[in-house]
Order: sequence, then C-alpha cells, then structure tokens
Amino acid sequence: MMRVHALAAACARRAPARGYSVLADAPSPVTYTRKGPQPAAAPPAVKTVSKAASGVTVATYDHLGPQSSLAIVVNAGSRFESADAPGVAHLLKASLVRTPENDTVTRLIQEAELRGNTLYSAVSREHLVLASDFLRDDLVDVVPTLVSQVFNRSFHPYEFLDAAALTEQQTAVSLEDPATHLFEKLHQVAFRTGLGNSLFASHDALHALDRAKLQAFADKHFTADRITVVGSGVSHTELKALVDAAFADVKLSSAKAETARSRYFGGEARIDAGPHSEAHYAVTFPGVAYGSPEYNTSLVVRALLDGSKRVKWGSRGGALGLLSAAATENTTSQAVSISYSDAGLIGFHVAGKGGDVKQVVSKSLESLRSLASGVSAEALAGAKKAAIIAAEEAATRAGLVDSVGRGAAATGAFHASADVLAINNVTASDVQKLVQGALAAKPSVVALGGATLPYADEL
Amino acid sequence: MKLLESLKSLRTSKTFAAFNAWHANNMGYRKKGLRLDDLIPDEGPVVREALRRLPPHEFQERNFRFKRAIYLSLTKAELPKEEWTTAETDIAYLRPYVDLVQAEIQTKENFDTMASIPAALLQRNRSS
Repeated sequence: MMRVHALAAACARRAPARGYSVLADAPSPVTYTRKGPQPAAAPPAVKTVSKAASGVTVATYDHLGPQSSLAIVVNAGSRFESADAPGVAHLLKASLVRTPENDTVTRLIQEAELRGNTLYSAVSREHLVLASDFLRDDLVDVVPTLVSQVFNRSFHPYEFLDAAALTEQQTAVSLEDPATHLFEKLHQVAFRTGLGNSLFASHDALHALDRAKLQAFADKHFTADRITVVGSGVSHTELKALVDAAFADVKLSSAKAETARSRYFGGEARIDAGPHSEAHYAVTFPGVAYGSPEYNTSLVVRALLDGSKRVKWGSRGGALGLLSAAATENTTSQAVSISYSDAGLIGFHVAGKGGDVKQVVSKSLESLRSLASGVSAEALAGAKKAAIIAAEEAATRAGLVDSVGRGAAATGAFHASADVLAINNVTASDVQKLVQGALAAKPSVVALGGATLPYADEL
Repeated sequence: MKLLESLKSLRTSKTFAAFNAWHANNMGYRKKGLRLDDLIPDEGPVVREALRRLPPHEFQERNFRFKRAIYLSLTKAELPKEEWTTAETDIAYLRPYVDLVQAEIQTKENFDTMASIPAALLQRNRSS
C-alpha cells in the first residue's frame, strides 16, 4: 500500500516538474529544486500608451513574460460600412493576408511557421484586427510583417474571389448558430445602422462588392488616428522604435473619417425557425459604453443578474443570480451586457423550450425591474466579487489584446477595467440609477423560434 | 566570357528585337487569333493552378480563342489580316500567374529542405 502511495505521489510531482524544468537545478522526473533565488510574486505588468511618430497609437501591456502577442487594431469594423457596400469589413478581414508585391505569400507563412508564430485576422463591429502570437524575441520580424500586410496594395482578382467564397461559407456557418443570428438581429433592431450593420457579409452583399470598394474602404479608414498597435508581453520602447521603422515607408493618411455617433432606437423583430427549433429570445435596453464612468456598474449589473458561473453543473445563466430564479428545467435566462465605444446593450437572453419562453421572459423582466427599485447589500457584495473574477478571467493572452485594443482605440488610454479593483467602488445607487435609466427606454426585442413566442407588447 | 557578354548585348539589341517580332509573326499562332500564353501546355498542376487564378473574363476569352483557333485549324483557314493578334494584343496574361505559382512552390520547397536557418531569419530581439 505504501508503495502505491509513493508511486502516486511521484507521478503527481512529475507533471509540474516538466513545466518548471527551466527553473530546476538538475532535470529529474521525480523532484526538482529551484535554481537560485526566485521572486515571490510575478512583477507587476507595465502598461504604456503613447503616440508613434506616424501618429498611430502604440499600447503595450508588458507582463514581462516570454509569450507575446501583437495586434494591429484598426477602427474599421462593420459599423463603419457604408450603405452601398455592406459586408466590406468581413471580406476585408478574410483577404487581409495577401501576396505582397514582388514576393509570395508562401514565404510569409513559411517564415511564421519556422518561428512558430501565429498569424490571424479578426473583425468585430468596431475593429478589424491583424494579430500574431510569438515568443518575445521574435518581435523584430513580427512588426514589419503585420504592418506590410495591413498596407499591402497588391490585390489579385483570385485573392478576392477566394476570400469571397470563404466569407460566404463563414457567414453561412456563423448564422447557423441561433444565438449569433439572434444577436445580429438584435443589433439591427437596436441601432439600425452603424452598430446595427451585420457583422457577416451575405451572399447578395458579397455579390455587390469588388476590389475597388475594399480598397476605398481601406483608404478611408486605415488612417493614423484609427490605428492602434497593441502589444502584450512586449517592451514599449522597442515596439515603438520598430513601429516607427515599419511605418516609415507607409503613406498614412492623416485625414479624419467622421463617423456618426451611435443612436439607440429599439423595436421588435421575429425570426421564424420552425416549431421544433430551440427558442431564443432577447430583451435588451440601452447599456453603457466602454469609456463611460458607468462601465463598471454595468459589469456589476451583469453579475447581479447572472450570479456566479463557477458552480459545477449550474445552469447556463449562472447560479444565485436574479435570473436563475426565472429559469425553468428546459429554459435558461442569461444576462446580456455588450459595450462598444459609444453605446451598449444590457438585458437578458432566454434560450430553451418555446412553450416556457413567455413565462421565463416575464420573470426575467421582473428580476431586472427589481434592480431598479433597489439591491441588497449582500447581493451587491457578491456581484462585485463575481464581476472582478470575470474581469480578471478576461485578461487572458487573447482577451488582453482585445481589451487593451478596444480601450486604447476608444479612449486613447488604458481602460479603467484594466484596474479591476475599481469595480469595488460601485454602489447600490449606481446600480439603481443605471437600471432605471435603461428601463426608461424602449426595449429591443428579438424572438427566434416558432409561433408560440410572445410579442413584445404581451410581456 | 567575351562571348557571353556579346550574347547578352545581342539579346538587348534592336536587331534581336526585330528578329523576335518577325519570328512571333511567323510562328502562325497570331494568324489564328491566339496569344503566346495560349501555347503554354496546361496539363501540369502549376499551370492548372495558374489557370484557376485567372480572372474569369480572361478565362472566357481564352476559351473563345481556342474554339476559334480549332475551327480555323479544321477548315485550314486563317483569320482576316485585320483580326490577327498584333504585338500590342499579344499580352502575357497567364505567364505572371505561372511564375507566381512556381515561385510559391519553390519557396515552400526551399523552406522544407532547409538544412540551416538563414542569417536573415536569425535576427532576434535580445535586448529585453
């Protein structure tokens, strides 16, 4: 018996020994002793934002670790599309890595592969992102690669056609997911244009696009004031020097493309998905923007509605939140809190059996209304903790670039959420005020499913 | 070495260009309305990929030229002189794509068979 225990203990020790082998004095599969004096805690991350010589913003979050990410975040998401070229941001995302002039795209990819770097592009409602994950030492080759790709003027017809085919598939696959379809419609109902533009290029939208429209969109939006170079795990001074060098031979327009501020409308839309489909129902009210002082309050409201999501076997909507009381066996209710640079949405998303939806939606609405009349001290304290944990959790490698980019692009500084403990300053009256303000507006209601789903005026 | 130099200067000379033009006009393909790039054999994977990359209208025009040329060949005829391909319309529409595909394959092979990492790729950011 003792032997078994000893063996089990040895095996248990082996796993960390592999991970920490760099810190060990002598490599041993069973034990390790740490090499030299070790710091008791990781050094605090260095957060810096500044303007490069070319006018682009450089934001770094240096955690001093060996893994780095670099992203070129351009304020050129789907909200900036004009009415005659919908879907241009989605297609541009798919064709962001192209054959450079007098070179092949294979070299670019093989070089990245040789170093073990990744290269990916992403599009959101506000941002177009070209990013790479790499080891800290590789910064020197990542910066010119990304910059030259973003400002690549060469665009072959076949690249456009290949990207269009890929985009169409992506759209079809994405909209297969009922929740994605629901939120697409929700944005359309809530904001109509701008943030209401579809994130996905439809078949007909793609048909109306050509290379000239893509180039025109890029020319208009890839300007100095709209570009943020976001680094995580990179030294700010080094990144800035490399960015200056890479942008030296790029002709950057300093013109400012005016964009209309988002306006909230509200309304109702229904998507027929047949009687057998899983029903989805979203009710949202105008929320808060990133940079706004109420942003932390919105995180707490979300936590109040959802509760903690770390209960094993708990419901999709989380446990102990206000919405968990509304959920039934087959139907869950989840808080929705989406923030953009100048607008947001707050509310809930009900998913499950069509017959239960009406009851769950009315109960969820009651829960949300109860927040307008007051919130207990214990619930608020619990929600603050849950909000802080959720915010900490979002600070992963991928999430970090995303949040730093969004914050720096919107406000030119590190967003307050980078300092998650500020969530502790939210008071009950803040919550009450936020919810009261939201509920005063006309809701945006979207139903996806069969005919049994309630209309907005039946709630 | 001298011979090589003189050959090089010959290739860039006016006489050589004139000979080239004369030769192209006498190969016969222009009289059937074809372009030089239409004569590239299209069986291999490289040219097939290059053809896939052609803009759709170029591909349709190419097919049209082939149909016309086959018909002319069957009837042992030539196009009327004003419809012959001229030096201006004899555009290299396929060769750049073939070259691009070949370069891509060559690049991949170079990387796949790389025995040591080239110095240009070894630069690192060691300072911090």
